[in-house]
Amino acid sequence: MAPMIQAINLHHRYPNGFHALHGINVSIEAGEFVAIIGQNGSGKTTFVKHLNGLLRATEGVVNVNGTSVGKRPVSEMARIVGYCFQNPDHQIFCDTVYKEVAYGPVNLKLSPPEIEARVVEALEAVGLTDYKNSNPHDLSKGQRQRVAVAAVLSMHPSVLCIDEPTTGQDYKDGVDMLNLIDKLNQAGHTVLFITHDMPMVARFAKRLIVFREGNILLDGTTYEVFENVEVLKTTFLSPPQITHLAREYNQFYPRTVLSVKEMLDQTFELLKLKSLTGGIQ
Amino acid sequence: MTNIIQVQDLTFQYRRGTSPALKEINLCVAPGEFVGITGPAGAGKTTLLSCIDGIIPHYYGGDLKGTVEVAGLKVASSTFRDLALIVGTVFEDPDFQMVSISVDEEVAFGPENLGVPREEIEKRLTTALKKTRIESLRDRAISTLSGGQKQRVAISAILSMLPQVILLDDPTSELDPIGTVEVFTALRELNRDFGIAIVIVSQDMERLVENSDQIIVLYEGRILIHGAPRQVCSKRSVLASAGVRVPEVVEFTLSLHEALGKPLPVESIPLTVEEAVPLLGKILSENNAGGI
Amino acid sequence: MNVMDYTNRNSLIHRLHPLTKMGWAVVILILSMVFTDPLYLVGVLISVVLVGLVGKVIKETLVYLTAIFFIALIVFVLQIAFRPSGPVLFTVTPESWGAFGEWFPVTEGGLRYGISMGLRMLCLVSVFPVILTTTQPRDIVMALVEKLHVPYDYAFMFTTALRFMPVIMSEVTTISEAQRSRAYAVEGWNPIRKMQAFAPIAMPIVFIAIGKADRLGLCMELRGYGNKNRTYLRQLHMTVADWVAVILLVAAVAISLWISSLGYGKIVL
Repeated sequence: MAPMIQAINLHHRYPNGFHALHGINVSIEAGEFVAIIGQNGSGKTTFVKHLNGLLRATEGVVNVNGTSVGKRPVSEMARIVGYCFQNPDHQIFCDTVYKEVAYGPVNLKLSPPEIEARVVEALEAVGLTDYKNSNPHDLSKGQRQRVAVAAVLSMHPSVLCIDEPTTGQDYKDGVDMLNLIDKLNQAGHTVLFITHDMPMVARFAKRLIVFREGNILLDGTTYEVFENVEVLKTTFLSPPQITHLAREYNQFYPRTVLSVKEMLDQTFELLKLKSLTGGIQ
Repeated sequence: MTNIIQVQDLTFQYRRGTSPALKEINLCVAPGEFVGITGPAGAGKTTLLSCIDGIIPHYYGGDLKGTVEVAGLKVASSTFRDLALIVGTVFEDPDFQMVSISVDEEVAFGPENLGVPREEIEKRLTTALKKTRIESLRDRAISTLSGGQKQRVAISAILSMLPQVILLDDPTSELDPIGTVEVFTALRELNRDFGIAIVIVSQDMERLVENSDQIIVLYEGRILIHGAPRQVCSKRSVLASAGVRVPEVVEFTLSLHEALGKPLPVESIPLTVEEAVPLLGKILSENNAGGI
Repeated sequence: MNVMDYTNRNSLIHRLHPLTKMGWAVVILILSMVFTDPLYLVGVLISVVLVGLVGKVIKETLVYLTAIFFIALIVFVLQIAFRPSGPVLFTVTPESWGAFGEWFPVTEGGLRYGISMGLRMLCLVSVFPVILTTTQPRDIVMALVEKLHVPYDYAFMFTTALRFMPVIMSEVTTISEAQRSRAYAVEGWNPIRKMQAFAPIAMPIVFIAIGKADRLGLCMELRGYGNKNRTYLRQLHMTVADWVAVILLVAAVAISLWISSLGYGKIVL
């Protein structure tokens, strides 16, 4: 079965001559949950924009769901690959949440009952059913972010690309957002999220693709990538604090630790503690 | 010595607000202090900063009770020009807070507005760029800079007005990790080497506990907790109820010690990985980890 | 709009005082209006291009002129259509087209007039790229404010607009990408449809622009903007080169007016 997303020797040169992608090769299966990480300017966003046709390959091939993206218009690709931008205010223009979420299906020329069904479903998925008739501008930033996700979901794409879901958010909204994305992944969507929020990556992502200066530097499970300490250092992307702490005692913590919970569990194991509260030795 | 910022019983409701955005806030910032302000979205952090630099009540009106003073001046009855000589503000968006095309113009903008003589402006320009380590960017067009560089230009543009305190409203939330490090490093140096007081709103608890003398946690318009970083970290459950997290090493170390029935004294709470390492080592060796 | 950006190169033209360059623009204006003979106008145009060459901005100047050429062509065609005079040289539609035959006569006078007006237009606008690429906006502001006593606020608005154009353009691009990702497509030629289709792009940019403009105004006030006794970091001086240029420009105007009064440089229409 062909991978859901495939890039073969993908190059991209911007009109001003800047060579943003140097021969990217990557293969992502349906249903995966991938974090695309890298500093600003590393090429991560440039790469993802090829998946729905916003950018076209200057050399090489991009295949989505078995067929080449080629010159297929963005409006066509939008049915398969949903792209949710970082700032919801770059999308929101309607006076009700309902109309906002219906915009995509309307553009896809679906029948009114179908549109209604999809809007209801999408709002339910993001937990904003009660806000169907609210004005998006009256909602909080976190809520507007979820409206933007619903607006993309209503087009029933199989692939969801989410740009910086936690940048500029407070901690709680960021966690809620990633939990939502996780839920959508469980429901069957292939999810790519672009970020440089390392603690969130450590907690949620199963697979990491690391970009640096237009190249893919590392591609593997979160554990595999974090274990590549020296290579990761060159990107100036630092694993979360807890990973560093565990490394200081790697004779006790042989496997990379990604979260506080993992660290506590492993430590209790080591100390042969019987429960999480109370101290028994 | 007068506090550089003194806020007493501050309560404020926006003109179109349905409830007060800030309730009975009392806080003070001493000269040269590094203060971190955090809290969930909507807690009132931006409103608080606005009350200190004069945006409230001079730009946005509302119902203001209590007093806010900077270096002894009452904010409510001072002009922006008077306040600009004491306090400057850096905002979240690196682009829409700067008016000029090139870096040197931007940094000179403030002193030019204040009618500072030409030779003095030149001096201040050079010094301000040096303090944030961006002398090499002097002739560059702002649109060609990275996010971290832009924010440092914004900081320099405030520095050239010789403020005693700089307020920053989440200056790194739009930046990548490299930019965030650049900005916090610049702020730390400004504070430690040049004695400028810093008041910064941020969600980055790791950086806040590392650099701050005092941390203030806002929740629903009130001060939930404030104090030295270790003091604040010791109140994990209170913070959690407000959706505020502590750094991972703090979370881990405190949970571990509690589970072992050996609660840590506040002075020993680790704020960085380096501080957490010996504590973990002690636990592992004392308890003969890995079996005998 | 990139060809109109200041280029940081070291040339004689870059070093001239902004007022000298603005004076030059006025002189070119005068020369373009005094002469109507296409030959003389070509001469004026070439002189501007030569100044661009000396200013090391020849590429930007030619790119700009090529872009504007299309508009000059429209001027040319309009003049032929509305200012016929003299013998008809040919018609656009041939006789053999029957009822539609012999439409749009092109007369000899119309042709000469058309070329003349087209060239005049090119001369008038050709000074802009040369000045904008060799003069920093803040220097233009200073010259306007200090010497011509234009109120600082207006001059400031000009440079601020210049600074934010690329930023706003980039926001519009992002909004357009975001909406295209939701299957937004501007199809067909129906003008009403096309206008409706602007809402998804126009609304977000209006909201964003208003919010950011408010924030910008606030930041300016926080840094003391609005003081009548403002000082300026940079100083502009008239150098020897400037005075030489001024003398040459005055001479050029005098000579042109004199030869034009003798009947040269004009075409009989």
